Amino acid sequence: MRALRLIIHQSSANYKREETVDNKMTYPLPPISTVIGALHYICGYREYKEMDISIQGKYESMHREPYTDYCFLNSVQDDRGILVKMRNGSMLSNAFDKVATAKKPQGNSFREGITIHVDDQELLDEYRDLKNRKDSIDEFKKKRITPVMELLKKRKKHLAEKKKKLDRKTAEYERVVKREKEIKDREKEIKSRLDDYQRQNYTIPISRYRSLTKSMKFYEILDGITLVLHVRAADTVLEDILEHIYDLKSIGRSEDIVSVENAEIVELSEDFEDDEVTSKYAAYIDCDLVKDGRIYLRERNGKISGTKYYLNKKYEIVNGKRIFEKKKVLFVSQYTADEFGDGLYVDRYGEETYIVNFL
Amino acid sequence: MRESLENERFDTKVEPSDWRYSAAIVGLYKYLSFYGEKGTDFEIAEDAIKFNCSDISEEKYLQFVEQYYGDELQHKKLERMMCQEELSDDQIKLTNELLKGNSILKKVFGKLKFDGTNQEEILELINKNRKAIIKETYRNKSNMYANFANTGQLLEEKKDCCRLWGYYVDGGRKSKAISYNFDVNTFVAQDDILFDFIPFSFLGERESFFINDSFSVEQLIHTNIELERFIENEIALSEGKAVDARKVLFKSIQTVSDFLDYDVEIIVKNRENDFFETLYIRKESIEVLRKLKIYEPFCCSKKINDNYYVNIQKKVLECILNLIRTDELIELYLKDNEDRSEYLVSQFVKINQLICGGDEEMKQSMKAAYACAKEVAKKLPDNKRESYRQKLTSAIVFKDYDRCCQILLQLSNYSDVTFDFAYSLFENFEENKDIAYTFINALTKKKDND
Repeated sequence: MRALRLIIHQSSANYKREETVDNKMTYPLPPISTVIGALHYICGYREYKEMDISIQGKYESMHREPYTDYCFLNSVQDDRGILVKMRNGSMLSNAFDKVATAKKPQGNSFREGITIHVDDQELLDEYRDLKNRKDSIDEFKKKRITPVMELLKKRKKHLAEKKKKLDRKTAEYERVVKREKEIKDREKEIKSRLDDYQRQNYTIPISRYRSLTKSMKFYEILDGITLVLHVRAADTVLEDILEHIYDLKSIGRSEDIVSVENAEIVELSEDFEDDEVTSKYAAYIDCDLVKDGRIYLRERNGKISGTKYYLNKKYEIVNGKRIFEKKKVLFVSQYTADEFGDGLYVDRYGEETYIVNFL
Repeated sequence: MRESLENERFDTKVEPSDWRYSAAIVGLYKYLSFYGEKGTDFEIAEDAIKFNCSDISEEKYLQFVEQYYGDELQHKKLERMMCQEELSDDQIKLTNELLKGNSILKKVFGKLKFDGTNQEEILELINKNRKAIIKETYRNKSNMYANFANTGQLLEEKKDCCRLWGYYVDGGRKSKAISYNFDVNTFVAQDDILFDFIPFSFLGERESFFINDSFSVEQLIHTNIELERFIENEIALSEGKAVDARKVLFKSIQTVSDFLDYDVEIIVKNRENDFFETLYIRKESIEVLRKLKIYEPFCCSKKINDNYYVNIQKKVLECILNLIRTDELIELYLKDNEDRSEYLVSQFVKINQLICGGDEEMKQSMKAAYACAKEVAKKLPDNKRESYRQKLTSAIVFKDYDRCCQILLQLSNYSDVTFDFAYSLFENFEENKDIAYTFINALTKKKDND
């Protein structure tokens, strides 16, 4: 069995657990989808390439690390957070100018200047002008446009009633239709001019303003990680990965830098002449292998315990959402195997012997 | 993971797909077992718990809450007081305080005061408003639902975002920020009304623990019940006083041979944090803990100043779980001369040895260092001994190892005692630091009991 062996070191990493927000909890080893994603990224694959991964490794310690989280709110909120103006309205980045900061959690107002700290008076004035302009547009809509539109609606209704009574072939009917069209065009023109004006003078300029909130959040960080990964895939895919392996910069977060100690295509064996192999590493092991007794944790036929994970492997996009296929694995260490084959292989590297279980 | 079953005895199956579902299963098991005595049926399969959805209702849930928390709910205490025939002035005062115990009780009892005769009226009001009282008290009490999930979502059907603290986000304002490409449609989250059973699976007071021993559902439940039993035993031993769940958990791992002697994930909820934390227990750490044999001496705090105390138990466990040396603690205790310091430092050195795997040569050197220190302490006057101890401590704390070696030479010369152990320090101080710690620690006149 041909496979690619990767031995990787990371000084620290967070393998985020789905959905965690305030304290980004970590898995003890990277989940399958994280590894697959990283390998696809370095090869520049835009579509999923079938691959199975064996993941084992160890970490030295674990700690919780605080960080300042910046969150752009869904819409501009006048009463909270930090009001900022983006340099580029269509892009969310840290290229923004601070306009003003709310001093209290709630009950402030940037527009009214209630309990705020002004960082840039000019931009704040611009923000207030825009808000005032929105008010004038709304007022104009209410006092001028709405009555006109209602009048036009009434006329349309009157013409429609008149049209029903007339014979389609008469000149009078033609005149009514023409008048009706004129009114509809007028209606359209009024709407479009108003929308244009609002877009140019309010919607586009205000879209550069955003509400930003800052808060302290945490990452659970593993330190001093060694990963032993085996990849089973088509030969071309393995060669692609091997060719690009030194483009692999991180696994986990972008700052979780990796150093690749070993990357080579190896022949995995199903025969093992010694009695049994006990792994030095912790690993995700297919639950069925443990249940079947092909991998045992303490004494043979002993009680099986530990934490089971349903790890993400690959996804399909359904209604815009990533729906993952899950693999049932058990997180174990100091485990032993003595029968290989049928998904369980041995790999020898120097003095080390790895138990390889593809997921 | 929850799945609906068709044409089977039970209509719902829940698998422990992640810790939230594992915890929900344990809570659900406690709930269903409570009603099991009253005829509710359910099944524990290897991979899942199976039950009928119709067995879960708001009324039953609240009734279970009342039974589970008992006297922690103020109205239960009130009921107990009202059943007593004669009440002292203090008890009447306490009853009046309980009548205003929280906002729902204030709302129910209004301006009503207990005068020693109106028990009937109070009991009637409790009975009439029992459901609302339980629900609101449970929802808002800091050690009940409010500790675990967003109070607004108690017994609500599933929403777009998970209800648990640390997972919950204000959907109206922040949903875009947590979605891929700032597009809310890409956001995937799991929420389930079954997560309302999670509070029943966490054990402990200010700091509560859930052991995600989820290989099989039976094992998951068994481990939870075991820990609950250990905590109850500890409460019984401490005569009803609150017990530290962390202490019970790790002491049990240390002393009970078949309890958690394997890698397992533990989820921690500290009442001061609005999120959950992970604690991975590894086999290597369990071995260190078991070889250490003692636990109680570490259950203390060290005062640094009026506002800052170091929780020694937590620090020691951090070191053991992360397999890192306890040098920070050793240096902290070397700096002061409390009675217990010498003993604690010797135990911290022992932990270092268990973590780093000290060999026989190291043990011999440490014994020699101890003997030399005691001989020096006998020969030197107290002020000199204390001064040398201080100098050595300062040098080691500042990691000035050359200075430390120089002081040792001076001390050997001055006291006329040969320091055979010191050669390994001259060769590699960092690797043999424990010998230096042992020497400094033993440089006292107090008799070592160890």
